Amino acid sequence: MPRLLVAEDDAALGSAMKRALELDGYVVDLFARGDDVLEAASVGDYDVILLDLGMPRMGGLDVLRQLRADGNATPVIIVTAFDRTRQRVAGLDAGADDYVVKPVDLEELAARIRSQLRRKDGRPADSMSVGEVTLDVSGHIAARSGEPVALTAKEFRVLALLMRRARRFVSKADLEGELYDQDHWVESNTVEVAISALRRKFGRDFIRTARGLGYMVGGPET
Amino acid sequence: MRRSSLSIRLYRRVLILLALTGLGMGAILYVVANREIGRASDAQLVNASRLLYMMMQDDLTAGVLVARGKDQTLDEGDDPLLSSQERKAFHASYDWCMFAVFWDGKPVAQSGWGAPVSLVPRQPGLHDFKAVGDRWRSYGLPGRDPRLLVVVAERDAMREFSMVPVLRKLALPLILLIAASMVVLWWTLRKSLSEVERLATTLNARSLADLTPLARGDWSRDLGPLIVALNKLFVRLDQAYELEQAFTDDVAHELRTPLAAIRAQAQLLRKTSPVPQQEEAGRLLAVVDRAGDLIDGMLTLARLNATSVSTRSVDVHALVADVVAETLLRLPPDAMEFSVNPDHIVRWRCDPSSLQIALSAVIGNATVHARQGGQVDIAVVRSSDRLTITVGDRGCGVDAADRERLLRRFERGTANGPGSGLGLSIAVKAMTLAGGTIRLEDRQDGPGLLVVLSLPAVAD
Repeated sequence: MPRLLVAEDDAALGSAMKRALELDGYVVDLFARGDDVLEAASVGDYDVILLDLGMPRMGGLDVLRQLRADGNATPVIIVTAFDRTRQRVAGLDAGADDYVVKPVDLEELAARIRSQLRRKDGRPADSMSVGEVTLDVSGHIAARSGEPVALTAKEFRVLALLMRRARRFVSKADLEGELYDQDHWVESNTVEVAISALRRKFGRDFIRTARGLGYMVGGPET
Repeated sequence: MRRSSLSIRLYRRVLILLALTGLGMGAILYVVANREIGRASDAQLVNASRLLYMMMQDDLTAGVLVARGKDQTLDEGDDPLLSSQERKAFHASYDWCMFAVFWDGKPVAQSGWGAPVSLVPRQPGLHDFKAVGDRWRSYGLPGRDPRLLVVVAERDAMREFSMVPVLRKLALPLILLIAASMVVLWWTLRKSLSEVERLATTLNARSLADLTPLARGDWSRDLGPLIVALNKLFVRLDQAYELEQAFTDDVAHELRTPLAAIRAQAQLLRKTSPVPQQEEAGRLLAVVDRAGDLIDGMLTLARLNATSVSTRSVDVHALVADVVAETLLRLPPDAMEFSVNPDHIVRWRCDPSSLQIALSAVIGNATVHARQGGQVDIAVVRSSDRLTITVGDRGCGVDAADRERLLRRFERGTANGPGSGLGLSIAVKAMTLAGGTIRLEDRQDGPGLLVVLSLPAVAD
């Protein structure tokens, strides 16, 4: 059972996060003070740390820097109200693996925790996941909710490009370019055919589209 | 009250000073000239009396004079002292001078015009006297025999220096000179004050966030105190900006943390409660999210105050694509359709971050207020001097009378409608920062609101 450390000085938020994560099946330890967090993280064997930045005694960034300086590589997701780009950059530079701004959706937080756990479990480096869909590029395996899904070569290439650029639009021209590379020529509706096949296999809402922009896969960042 | 122009005031004062100086100089010149003319005239009187005395020398015998002095009758015709030639010669040289010759205080010869002999002073030297309504000046020259006195006199009016003919001659060159000096003076003044205009131009060209001090060396010493004061103001503004930034960060933290707690509790409630309470928790979540949006909007607005603008060549199509992607991911699947025209790169020189904030606010506004229309059409149109981005929805549109109001802060289409009421005011502020404009129109191709974002071309 994965163990989580939640560092949050707001009692109401901390207890709600703890209960919600416990309902998801995690073992959760909650701490409100920076020095306590550092001590617990140093001795305890946690799978993921959720770290607030504005804690008493010792700020979240100092805790994080100290952990990394001590060689502790536990994945850290910063959960904070500070949303400036330079604050995000400072957090990630200090060694955080992810950065979430409050008020955070608990479902999204759970997805981010799962993502960190998967990465920790030694998932192949060229494996990607968006929502329930995962793609192992080197193994040419696609899966939906863990169930393998059979794809043609063209569908796989289209899906791989969409997932590489998840949460951004990929133009039809770029998708065609990806296919040209393999076949040297494509019929005019090849991309549309591949997209509709992928929608059939992964759900209609998995791939979003906008006229003039192209196609996009998205959902909580993972 | 607006103070009158510094240069005009200075100009006026310098002109008054010049006029006073000119008048003073004129008065002094007039007095000095009159005194000199008086002195020269006196010298002429002396000369005239000497000439007369010399002419009479031949005929001067005491006896004759005594005899003439005694009988008291003076007849010009047979005056033995001055022949008619001698009289003519005297008048040819000094036609404005009268004379009288006295022997032992009695008149023995006279010019025959001018002041009555009885009024002429009978003393040697210079004297003033009044006669026949005029002021006169006389000089009495004693002869070798002290009983003889030759007196020559002239009217004061002859001696006075009149400015009128001088002025008449000088009028045209003087007017030209005065006009030329007024022009030169004005030009010099403007030229000296152009430094102030340069300072104004420099300050105007600055972006809101540019608070770097002005270099002392770039400005003349006269502007030194002004430059120092401006630099001090810049430092104070910079500190105020820093404080404001820190304050918004604090506000963000203090508001978001309890909101996050409420949201987490509500989500937990929805997850763990029986179905009827789940719906209530869902409604609570929606309210919390609206409060979250409001805080985000206020922070965006507050931070736009301190945003620095940096213009560069931007792919506006890609920027629109990112904003649409972000918007789409926040919406439930199939909630709205988006279209963007054209489907390729459109480059334009602008500040990408403020344009993105504006677009995000406008498109976000369409997803809140025109969700039921189900469609957002975005067009990017580039002309030689202007980039226009239109965002059209299929909502119920906005009455022409409400359009101005809707662009202001906390103004909503309907009193209890969705949204924070900040979206369009954020867009207005961001577009202003980007140097552009925003306006609301009716869609021409059917119902719906068309938001027009317009950016002028800027030089490289």
